[in-house]
Amino acid sequence: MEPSKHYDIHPFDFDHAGKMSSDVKKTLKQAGLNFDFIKRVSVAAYEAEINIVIHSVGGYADFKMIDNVVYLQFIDYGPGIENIELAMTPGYSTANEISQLNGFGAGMGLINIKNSCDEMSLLSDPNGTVLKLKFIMTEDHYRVD
Amino acid sequence: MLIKDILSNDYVIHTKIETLDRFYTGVHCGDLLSVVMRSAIRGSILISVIGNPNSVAVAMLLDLPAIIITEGQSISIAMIEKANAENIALMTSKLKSHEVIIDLKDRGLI
Repeated sequence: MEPSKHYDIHPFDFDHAGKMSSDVKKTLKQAGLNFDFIKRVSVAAYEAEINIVIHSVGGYADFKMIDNVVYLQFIDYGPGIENIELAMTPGYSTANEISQLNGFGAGMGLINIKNSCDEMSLLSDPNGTVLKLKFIMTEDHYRVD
Repeated sequence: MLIKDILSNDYVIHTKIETLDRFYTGVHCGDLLSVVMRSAIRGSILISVIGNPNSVAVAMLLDLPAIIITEGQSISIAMIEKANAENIALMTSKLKSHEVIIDLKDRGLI
């Protein structure tokens, strides 16, 4: 059976943010993937989790591994990204002071996500945001480290 | 080098003693965790003022064996518990971040 997991993500719950990425890291490690591939997936997962924690009223994430592809999906219930192009600009952030005190709000989250994955799609309106990521595994991604 | 080599009067260790037996390869200093995730190299010690569980989460993702929270910033019980669970050494220091780097360099530890 292919691994498939679901995670609920709560607004401003910084203490539990990272549960999904930590779990994904362990699953990929067990699957024999190397550090660089695991880092790409888990960093993207963590950034996306944090985005839901910081910017939304809550949401969830799904992890699936089918054949040679890792799929991550993040869905929240709003209020959505007003201007996606601006949000993808390095250094642009709408994060509040609490988020900054927690080490976030550098305006690098979506850029880190985009640079980590092989495919990314982002849809957003006031009802919510849907972020889908795809990571393709090749023979080179299996552990030698 | 071993994490335990770092200990001096300027550093307080908060996690279990076994966490000091891990090796490190260098240091990475940063407070913006997205930048840390982009740039820190596996095996480095994270030096930061961000004394909350998010720093531990990032250290765990990047295989960073230790964190030094600087400028006397307080840390939470949740942070200590998370670091213990992930076998990451968690230290605090009253020194500023750049002073920690200078101290480690002066003592030949980086």
